[in-house]
Amino acid sequence: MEAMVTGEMVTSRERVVKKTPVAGKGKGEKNGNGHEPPNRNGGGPIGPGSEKQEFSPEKYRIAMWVALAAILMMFTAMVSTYVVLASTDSWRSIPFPKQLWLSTALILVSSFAFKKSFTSLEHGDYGASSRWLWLTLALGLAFLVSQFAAWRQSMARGIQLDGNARALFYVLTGLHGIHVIVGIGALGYLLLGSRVVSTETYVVKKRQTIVGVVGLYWHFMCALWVCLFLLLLFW
Amino acid sequence: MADSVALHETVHEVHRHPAPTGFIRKYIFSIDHKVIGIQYLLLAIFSVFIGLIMSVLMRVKLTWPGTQVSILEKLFPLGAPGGVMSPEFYLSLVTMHGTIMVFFVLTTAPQGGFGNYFLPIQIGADDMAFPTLNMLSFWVTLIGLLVLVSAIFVEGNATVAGWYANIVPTHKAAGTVGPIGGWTGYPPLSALGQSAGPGQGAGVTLWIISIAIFCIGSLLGALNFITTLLNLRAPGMSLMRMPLTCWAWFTTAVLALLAFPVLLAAGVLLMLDRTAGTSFFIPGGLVVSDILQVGHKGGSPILWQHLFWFFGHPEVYIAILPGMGATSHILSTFARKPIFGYRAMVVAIFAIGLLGFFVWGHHMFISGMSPYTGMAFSVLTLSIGVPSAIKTFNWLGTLWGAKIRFTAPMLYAIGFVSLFVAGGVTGIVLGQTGLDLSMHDTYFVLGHFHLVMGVAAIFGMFAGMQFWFPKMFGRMMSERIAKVHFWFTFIGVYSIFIPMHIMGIVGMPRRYSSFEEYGFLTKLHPLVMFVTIAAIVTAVAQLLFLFNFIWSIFKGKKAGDNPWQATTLEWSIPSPPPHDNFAGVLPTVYRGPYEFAVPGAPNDFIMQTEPDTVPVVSSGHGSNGDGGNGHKP
Repeated sequence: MEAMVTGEMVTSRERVVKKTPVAGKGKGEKNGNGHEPPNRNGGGPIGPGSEKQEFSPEKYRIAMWVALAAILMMFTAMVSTYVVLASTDSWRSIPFPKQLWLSTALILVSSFAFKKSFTSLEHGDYGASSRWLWLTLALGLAFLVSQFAAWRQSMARGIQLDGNARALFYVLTGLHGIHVIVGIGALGYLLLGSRVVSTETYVVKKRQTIVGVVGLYWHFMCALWVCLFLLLLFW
Repeated sequence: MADSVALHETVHEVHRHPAPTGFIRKYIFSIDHKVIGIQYLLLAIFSVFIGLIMSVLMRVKLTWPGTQVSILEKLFPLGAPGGVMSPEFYLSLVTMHGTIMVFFVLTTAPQGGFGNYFLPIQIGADDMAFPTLNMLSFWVTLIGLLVLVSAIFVEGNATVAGWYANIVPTHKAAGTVGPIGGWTGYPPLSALGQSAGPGQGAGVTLWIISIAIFCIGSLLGALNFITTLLNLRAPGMSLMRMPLTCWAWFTTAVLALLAFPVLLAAGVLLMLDRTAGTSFFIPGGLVVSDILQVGHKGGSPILWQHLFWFFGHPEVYIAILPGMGATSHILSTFARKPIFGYRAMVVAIFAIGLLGFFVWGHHMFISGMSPYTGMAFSVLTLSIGVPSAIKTFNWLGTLWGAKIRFTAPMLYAIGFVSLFVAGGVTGIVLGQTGLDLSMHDTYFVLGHFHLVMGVAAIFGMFAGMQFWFPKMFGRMMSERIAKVHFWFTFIGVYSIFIPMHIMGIVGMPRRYSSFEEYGFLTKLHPLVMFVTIAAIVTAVAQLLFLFNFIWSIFKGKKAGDNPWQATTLEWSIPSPPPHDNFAGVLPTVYRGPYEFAVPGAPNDFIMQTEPDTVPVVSSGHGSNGDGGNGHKP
């Protein structure tokens, strides 16, 4: 019985190896698109320099969307908590901090600035792209300062953590703030890399992809904040 | 220089990351998905034996309450004075057994272990999409485990508690082993801190931190799995040509991605309740241990239950789906038939995953929810029976009329089907609100979920380990030892968990450390004794597995590339696979994963990499098993 099972050792690896390599993934080709299936049919060797060839813009986009889904689920849980606790008898609303209007304006403009930066990059205008990126970063920092000012105002009015409305205000803004800090870190990373000016297709494509992916995150944080803002304003 | 480049091109030594050289980069901080997979498996094996010892201790405490275990006195002088387990000690065993098993065994091994190792190979990728992230997710998970283990000693050992008190001055050792909140950590007790009683102090804090760390590790893993599967499939590996294991791992990753953030959020809120003076989960006017908890008002303990079980139910499927995938894969291989109804299997996996997000309320029927809500949850719960039955009947259809090769992995896979059905039918019972009300806090539930998600998932892992061991280590595990182990374990687990259903119907409540004061339960004592003996025998039998595992790594019979005559990509490469899996040559896939016994074909199996010169099975799509009837010899 066992002999029958283990008897024949099939090495179809040999079959794979025997397959004639198909042209298309050579060294010179710099489409930066290593994982597009049409190019890989035939299962040829990837060839050296594939670290560049293997750069796949799709990979980063998918990963960012997936990560955003997880972040969205976490905030959904927090917002559900807010909605559930707001329906209890002991819920005491807090006065809406006016400062949040300024925060909202700041992050909306920063989102717009990022959009401009990305458009400039697509047009190959690296200088403008960089300048818009700096503006995005500055507005992001201003948003955080504004949020912190809102915290200070709330605390100055004697708002401690002992009421659920108050506590959830801190939790929601704080958690969002942490994510914005991560975003600012990513913006800083983009700015560090912006000095390298190259016209090589591969480099341009990679830059565009990374900026685009960070943009996804940044716009998402902006949209998320608008939702939280509306929640705090109306609920 | 030019020569070396040319040479390079012919040798095809190309990887996204070069093969590591040093020991540390190769085996410790490795970014190779295969090494990380084995690391996950070792972590799970370590955890499962801790959890197993805890379960045996619980049975000993229930059956012979006064037993003195000297080693317990040395390790936990406070929790087991004189070596006799205190009731609090028992409760912390319940908590830690559940937490370790659910998180660090059932979630890590099937997905992080086997999934990590075989998903990239089965789809024809040279590694995960983000190898460094993959390494990170393992190490984060390991830190989570270490924090959890430290929770045991902080509560149970005065010396460790003393060290801990230097960091957190308010803490005193409570004389238990770890937290006693249960693996579900229900507030308000878990939210109050030390004032709630023994075992609610630093242990629970560390427990929450550990779970939060684990959430992050799992999320990083899920991110990697989903991206890898969507982006790195080899040419020709269309979605409907993927092995069912890949579908299961993918669905599991999606579940983990959507469920763990909710637990993380709930954990953050619970932590704030304990440390920052909030009261999300603590109601007003609460009196615990004769102390009015004045600082807290207006929270909802039920809210925690909703958040927890919104995660908790998908978690059940996170544990079981990879087992289902492995079972489908192995049944088809050793039945030498295409899997019956491949498409239906894929749809059923997704249906189970999707429905899993809408049934969390069935864990809360006794929480006082509206009967209408209860009915909605009940109907949705019972509807999961449909995709589960589809899978079961397809497994039976695969076996129907087959010339089965009863190898050890096949036995474990058949055992999986048996246990899944046996545990599943009582799910239909418990899914009815009326029946659940009376049985919820009894041993009936204990028997149900241990069979369906605990032991069944473990059998899926046994099957996977026995099946893929030759690929991972280049040697076969001993069939003979495995078969002995199978029969001991298979009969053993039924002997443990079937009587628990009877105990539950009689009314034996779960989580009690002693039943001496309940007259109506005294007649059950022989049954309790029987279960305990069965548990000890089964636990000891696991040493056979451990021995087989270690012995076979060094002394097992050498395995070829394809010892099982299987069809999927992992069997087309050497055992163990080279660093980048396919030695720089990407495979091309020409057909579905389960082409066994194709009429007119020279062999009774056709590898996925085999070009189309051999006749294609039946109709359409180059897929397999539309009805499983490409089989008539």
